[in-house]
Order: sequence, then structure tokens, then C-alpha cells
Amino acid sequence: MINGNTLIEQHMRDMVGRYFTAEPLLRYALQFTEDKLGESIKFGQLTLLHYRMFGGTAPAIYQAAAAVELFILASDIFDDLQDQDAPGKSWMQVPAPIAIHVASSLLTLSQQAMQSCEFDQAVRLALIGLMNDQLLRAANGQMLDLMDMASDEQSYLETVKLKSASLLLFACMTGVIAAGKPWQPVVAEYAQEIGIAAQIRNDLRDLLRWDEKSDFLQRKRTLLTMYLVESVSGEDKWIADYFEGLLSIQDVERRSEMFEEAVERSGALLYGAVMSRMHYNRFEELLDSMQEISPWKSDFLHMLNGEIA
Amino acid sequence: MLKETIRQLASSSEKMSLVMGGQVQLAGVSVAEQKALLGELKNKNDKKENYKLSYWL
Repeated sequence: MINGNTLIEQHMRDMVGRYFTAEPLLRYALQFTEDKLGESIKFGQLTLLHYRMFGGTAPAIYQAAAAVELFILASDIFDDLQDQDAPGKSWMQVPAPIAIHVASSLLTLSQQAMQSCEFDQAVRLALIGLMNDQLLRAANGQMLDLMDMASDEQSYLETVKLKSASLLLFACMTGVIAAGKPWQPVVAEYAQEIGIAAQIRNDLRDLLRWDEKSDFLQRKRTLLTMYLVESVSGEDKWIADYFEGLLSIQDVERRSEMFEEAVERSGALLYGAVMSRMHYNRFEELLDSMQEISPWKSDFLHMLNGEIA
Repeated sequence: MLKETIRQLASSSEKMSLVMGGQVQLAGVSVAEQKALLGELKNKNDKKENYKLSYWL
């Protein structure tokens, strides 16, 4: 099984060491990189896997996968700064101007890393084009998410496609393009399906939280909070009232058990699980439709299921 | 229609059992929705995860 984690990590550290010559920038960037590497590098693994799936064999793919992961790291930092959560992360424990500066430097470094991959010029240009295109899509999605612009299920799914699915598409398609193959519509579609399934799964987790990351307490519009608000009546009406701003957080902060019971009664958890599974099923159907990549299916599913660190 | 079906199932364990036993047709629910719904109900019944997707985003 592919496990090029060590090589991806090495390229990430090399890029940081080569371009960040100011001591504090180097120090913070390495610290943040190590923090990230302590978790997972799944996006880079997706790039590697797709490269192999589409016949690539050159070691330069580790450079491209490192570029993908550097971008994901920058994106994670910005996301945590915007959401003001994840206090355990190293970038949340330094002054915000420092974290913002390191993140923007890492973003530029990811471009430089992709630009300096040892592929043909035409492939490098195509990779940079892909990177910018997908990252701009993600930027649009992030803005819509920050502004909580989803007004219904369709607009929520459109935001998710932009914000989350484009990052998965970027990671998968980087492997395809690096292998010298053209854009693969089926890959684009299944990457989107994984992105939607994964986002709804996150939403399921965040629906039942009762802290600063609770989607309900934050009045964040997701597929599940919208379903819940539409579904409640009678004794559970306070949920809709809070969501619409008619009640304050002080009015509801002691109602976590009542909330859990109402969620159960409404079927919101089942609805989210079904929606996530439906998109995951679609991903599997699309994967099965490409005979040439079927030998890799098992590895792919293990990776998605977190069984490959 | 899927939403309405799920609301009905959530409010009636009897209906839930009938659906799981294949004794009720789910009108207005697409084939893909039905497959996912039955998969989740089976999952819930077996009390185990037969579909997994780790946290990615």
C-alpha cells in the first residue's frame, strides 16, 4: 500500500527551510507544520493515490503532495482563526498577527512548491492552474460560509461544494494531472460527493455539541439545523425561537438535554446520516464505474475510513 | 419527501419496523434515498457502523 507520508513530510520541511530565512518565520512555520503532521496528511495521500491510480510512477509526486498539504495547512490556520476555535492548536496560541502572517506565507509557499515540482513544464502549468482554480472556488465557499448565507438545502449544498469539495477535488485531480492525464469528470464528481458526505458527517457531530462549536448555539445554518428548525413544534418550539433570535443564549444554555431529546424526536440525526450515506454511496458507484481504477478501490476506502494514518 | 418520511419514522417505532422489514413502500422517495435510508436503519438496528467515513474537513 502507498504510504509516502515520510517523503511528503520531508518535502514540506524542506520547502519551509529553503524559503523561510527569517528565524521567527522559520520557527513558527516549522512548529505549525509539525503540529499538522501530528494529525494526518490525508489530502497528500489522496494525491499520491490518484497519481498511482492513473499510472504515474515518478518521485516528483511527493513534491506535489507536499504542495497540497502546505496549502491545506494554511487553509486550516485561516479557518481556525476565522472560527476562533481549536484553542489547542499551536497557531491559536500565538498572537493572531503572527498566525495570519505565517498562514499567508505558507499559502504562497504552497504555490512555490507546486511550481517547483520536477514535472514537465506543461504539467506544472496545468497543476498551478488547477490549484488556483480550485482554491478560488474554496475561497468563495468559505466567504459564503462565514456569512452564513445558506438559506435552504440547495444553497447549503452549493456552499459545501465550493468550500469543502473543491479541496478534495484539488487533491485528487493533482494526482491525475501529474500522471499526465486530462481532467477526469468522474474523479471530479466523486471528489465532490466525498466532500459533501464528509461535511454532513461533520455537521452531525457539531449538531449535538453544547459548546462554542455547537452549530445550534451559534445559529449556523446547516442541512441539519435547517431540518431541525423546520421539524419542531409544541414543546420543542423554543428551538426555532432561539434560532430565529427570539430567545437569547441565556434562555437556552441549560437546555442541552431537552435539545438532545428534541433532536432525537425530530429524526434530524437519521436525516443527516441518510444524506451523508447517500452521497457516499454515489461516490462508490462512480468509483465502480471506472474499471481501470478498481484495483485501488480497497486502498481508497481504507484511506477515507481513516484506517491508513 | 425524504424529510417527511424520516419525520414519520422518527415519530413511530412501529412504522420504522415495518420499513425495515420491507413491509411498507416508501412512496416519493428515490431509489438512492431508499438505499441510504435502509442502510442507515440497518446500521442502527445492528448497532454497528457498516459505513464509515472519517472526519476530513
